[in-house]
Order: sequence, then C-alpha cells, then structure tokens
Amino acid sequence: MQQEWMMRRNCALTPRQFVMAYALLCGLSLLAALPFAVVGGAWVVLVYAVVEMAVAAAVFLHHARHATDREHIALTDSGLLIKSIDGGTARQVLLEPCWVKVTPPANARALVAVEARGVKVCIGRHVSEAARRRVALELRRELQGRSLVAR
Amino acid sequence: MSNTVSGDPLDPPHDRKHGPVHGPAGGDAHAHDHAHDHPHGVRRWLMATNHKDIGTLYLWFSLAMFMLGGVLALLIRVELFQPGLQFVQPEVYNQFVTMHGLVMVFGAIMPAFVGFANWMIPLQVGASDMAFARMNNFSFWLLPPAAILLSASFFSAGGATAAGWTLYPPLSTQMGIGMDMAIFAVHIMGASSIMGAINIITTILNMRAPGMTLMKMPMFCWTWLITAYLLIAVMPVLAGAITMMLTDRHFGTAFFNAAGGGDPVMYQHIFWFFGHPEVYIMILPAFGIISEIIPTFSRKPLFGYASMVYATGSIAILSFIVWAHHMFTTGMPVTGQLFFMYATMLIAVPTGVKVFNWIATMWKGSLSLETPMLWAVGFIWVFTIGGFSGLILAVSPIDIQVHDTYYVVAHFHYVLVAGSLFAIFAGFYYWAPKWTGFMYNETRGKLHFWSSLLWVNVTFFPMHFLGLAGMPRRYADYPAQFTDFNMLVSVSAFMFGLTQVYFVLFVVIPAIRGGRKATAHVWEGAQGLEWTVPSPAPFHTFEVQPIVK
Repeated sequence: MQQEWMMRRNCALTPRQFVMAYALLCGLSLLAALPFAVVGGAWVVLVYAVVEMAVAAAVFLHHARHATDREHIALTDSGLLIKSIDGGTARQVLLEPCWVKVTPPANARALVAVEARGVKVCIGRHVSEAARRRVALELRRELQGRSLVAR
Repeated sequence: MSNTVSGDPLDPPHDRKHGPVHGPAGGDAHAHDHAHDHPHGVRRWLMATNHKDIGTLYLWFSLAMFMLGGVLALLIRVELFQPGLQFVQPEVYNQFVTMHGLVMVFGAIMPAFVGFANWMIPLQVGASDMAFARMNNFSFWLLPPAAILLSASFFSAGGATAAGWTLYPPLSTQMGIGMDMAIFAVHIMGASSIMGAINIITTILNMRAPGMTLMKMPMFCWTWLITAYLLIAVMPVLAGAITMMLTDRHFGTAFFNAAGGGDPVMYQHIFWFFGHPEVYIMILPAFGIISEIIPTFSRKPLFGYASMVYATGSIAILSFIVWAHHMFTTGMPVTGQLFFMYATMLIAVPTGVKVFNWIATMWKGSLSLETPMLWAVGFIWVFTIGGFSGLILAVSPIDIQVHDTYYVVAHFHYVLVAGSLFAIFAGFYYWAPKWTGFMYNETRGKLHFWSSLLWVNVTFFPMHFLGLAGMPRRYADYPAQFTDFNMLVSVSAFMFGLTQVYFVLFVVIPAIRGGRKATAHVWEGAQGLEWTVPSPAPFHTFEVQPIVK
C-alpha cells in the first residue's frame, strides 16, 4: 500500500490565467497612457505606465516562480520518497523507512526534519505550522505501523 | 491513500450565498492563537507583515488623517461663518482648502479602504495573509512620510500649496516649495497605492480557497479587485501629470505653460483622466461594504449578485470615458460636450442597478436595524442624493451655470462624506467585533449614526442652494446675501465634527478596551468565511485550508 502526502501552496489560478490577469493589467494601463503620449505629447505618463508594469511583472514573476512549489512524500514498499519542487528546481531523496526519524517542528518557523543514515531533509516550507505538525505526526504513525508489520 | 495539504491555512463552515463551505468548527480550529509567535511592542508594528496588523495600521493612519482633514474643514467653516475676512487671509484660506482635499482623498479615504481590504480580503477568501506580506509593510510605511511632507508644507516658505486639490497650472507652477512637497507626497502615496493594488489583485485572484470561484466571491472582494485594476490603470497618469508639473516648475519644460508652447488645459485632461476613476476608487469599495451589510441584516442573499458584479465592472469601464465633464467650461466642441454628457449619464444605469438591488435585497427580508444596517440604509439614501446631483451636473448647460459653485461642493461631499465615509462607518460597526473581540455599545453607535445623518444633511444640503444662488467655491469671502445659509452650514459642520470626536472617544476606544464579548458568528444573518474564525480574529487564521462548495 502506498501512502502519500502533497504539501503545496494554494493557487487559485493556473499560470495561463495569471498571465491573462497580468496582460489585462498591462492592456488597461497602456490603453490609458498611450493616447496621452501619442496625441497629447505627455510621454511622461507612458514612462510611468511602463515602469509600473515592469514592477508588476517583477512582483508577479517572483510570485509565479514559486506558485507551483510543492513537496511530495510517498511511503512505498521501496522506501520513503521525498520530492521537492522549488522555483523550478526538482530534488528527490529516497530514504529507508526503517532508519527514518521524523522530528516535528520545534516552533512556528521550524520545518519537519526527516533524516535517515546521515541524510536530512527538511519539509513543510509551503504550509502552515499546524499542517506541518499534522504531516509529521501522520508520517511518524505510518512509519511506526510499517516497522511493526515488518517485525 | 493520499493527503493534500495546501499552504494557505484552514477553516470551517461557511455558506456564502453561492457556496457553502465545509471544515472544522471555526472556534476550535483557532484555539491555539500562536500569540507568542509574533514580535511585540514597536517591532510588531514597524516590521509588521501580518495582514491584520497592517490593516490596523492603515485604519489608525486614516483616522489621524481624518482628524487633520476635519480640523482643516472646520477652519474653512470658521472663516466662512460670516462674510468678510475674520481669521485668515485668502492665501492661507486657499491653503486650507487645498490641503483639506489632498489630506481627505489621499490620506483618509483611500487608506481607510486599504485598511478594510487588508483586514477583510484574506479573511473573506480564506487566505492566511496577503500575497506579498513585506511589500504590504512597505506600502503602509510609505504613507507616514508622505503625510509628514504634506503637513510640514504649511511651515515652508510661502506655506502649503494653495492651488486646489486638482493642482491646476498656472497656479501650481507659481507656488512655493510647499507645492514641491505636495508633489512628492502625492508621488509617494501613489507608489503606495500601486503596491497595495498589486498585492490585492494577487491575493484575490490567486489565493482564494479551493472552490471559491470568482462568482462566489464576496462582493467586497469583487469591488476591491475592480478598484485595484482602476488604481493600476490611473496612478501612472497622475504621476505623469505631477512630474510634468515638477519639470515645468524647475527644469524649464513647458508642458503646461502656454508662453512656452504648452497647454494648461492639457493638464486638466490628464488630471481628470486620473481624477474621475479616482472618484470610483473611493466609492466602489464602499459599494462592496454596503453589499455585505444589507444581506446580513435583511437575512436574505444579495439580490442580483451577478448583476452587481457586472454593474461594478461597468461603472469602472465608464469611468474612463467621462473625465471631461469636469471641464465643460474650458470650451469644447458641442459634439464633445454631448459625448461626455451622455457618457456620464450612462453611469446612472449600473449605479441604479446597485441601488435597486440593495432595495430588492431588503424587500420582504427579516430586517433588523442594528448600527451597521442603519449606516448602510443611511448610505443608500444620502449617496443617492449625491448621485442625483451628479446626474444634474452631467447636463452640460446646467454644469456651465453652476461650475465651481457650492452646488459642486455639495455634490461631491454627498458622494464622499455621505457616501464613502458613511460606508466606512458601516464597515467599522460591522467588522469591528471581529477585529477587537468586543461588541461596541449599540446605543452609542445609533446615537453616532443619527447625529451624523442629521448634521451631514444640514451641513451639505444648503450648499446646493448657495451654489444655485451663485456662491463660488474656493473664496474666503462672499456677499452678505449668503450669510444665513453659511452660518447654518458652519454651525452644523462643527456639530458633525463633534459627533466624530464622540465616535472616537465613546465608541472606538471603549470597543477596543473591552465590553461584551463578541462571538465568532457576530451577526445572525452573516455569511462568509470571516465569520468562521473566532472574534477577535487570531493572529494566524485559516491554518487549515477551508473548502468552498
């Protein structure tokens, strides 16, 4: 039997929808600024609109880069597989369940520490403290259950 | 078997008109408040990244600015109590008028609504915080320096700017350093607004709880989403206008200088292209607040939710094509006058949809008139008066007659005081128990409402008559024939001001200090995620993702 946990940010929009929202923003701002620059000679308005859109783009990019960040934990017969996607970078660690030690977060900012035979992975950066604690407890319980079955 | 845990927190039973929610019971889920997890003292406020703290900061800042703007208004009314010059010289009087407008628009009303947005949007969409918490902090902390710049300009050589809040050239190009201080202050406040708008858009669009589709969103979120788009569209226009003015003043350009080949009327076009949407920036969130309160105290869902959303969008779109109705007297072709006249009248349609929908929501509802509802109903009445006088002013031949008279002053004060400010009060009474954890004193709240309603009408309604009789605005003196109405208006303005002092001392402060404990679901008929968290809302909310069905 496979047990899985997925910890991710809540994103109500798909990346495509997010780009559309930004495009609408640009469209509106430029629609307002362009006539002033072209017809009225008030090119300063266009400069501000472009600067504003650049700031919005930077902020949205920062947000979107991490919008799909997630951590996927799968406890299978072959081991405890932890996959993490962070800003487009994927990392994957396979641990042997019988050696795994799970440490719940010590405080609100701390992460869940999962370690086995010198390999330590911290998980739960995308979710709240309560959710981290819950995952830590569930993971512990599942690991203990498996080790009992194994014995 | 698999579990999915989403980063934006968590909570309970909700049934916002179109969509119930499920989850654990609100109060229990937040029993652990993490009160020990966040900084205390000055650092809590200076380094604040929590949306509730930043919302509180915005609201206090706005209150302080209301006080400053209110004192300036009363200084104006003192001078106008009698004809002749009693207390101040005309140039100082014009500084009061200008600063009153700037302080109220940029320092009081806009930040008040941003304060509401900070507090309520994450709670209403089921998010743990705003999308960009640090930028949120920066947005707020830009405001105090801007306010200091504005206020300190009174003490600069030549005093504060006296060109009117519209800062029209050539007056504005001839002022002293106070004008430059005002330009920088407006720039800073504009930057703050843009960052706030980006934050609000991202939070609303991307951090909604699973299941909360756009058409299930609370109206307050909808009105703020549209307002934020308006802000993004028009703030560069304002920034451009005042930058060109700055370069005209100091760097030899002649954008608005006719002697150098420029055109001062061009400034008016640019300013009002910003200025008219700005009016809606100050009223759309008010519509959102009223749309939350009316259904709650009617114990019915909002009538015509979808039409309310479309009406809000229509108002925002129309706001871009009506700016020149502020400029009928500058001279424009008849075709232009007709276009702007009819386009302006068109706004009455979506606005009417809103007013009729609010009335239809109340129709056959189980109404109860607690203080928030009184303010909301009062808002509908007095805002409609302001709306109607706006419709009258849209008629070009009439506008040309009453342009720059007290009729216009009466109109926009009915919209901004009786409209925006009443909605701010309504929102305060509605959500304050959620903020403070204590119920305000209902009797005092009602007294505040009835006193404000009386004095706001006695203050601003006679201004219609003064305007129709020809009394111009922005003058420190007037002919003796206007004395009686001006005396009445001045006395009433002081009564309105005293009523607001009563509000702060006998409603706000006691409601913060203590009182009857508020429950999580403060109002029997209230719907929405914000009522699923305990009162006061804990520092961290929605640690378990709510799901809207």
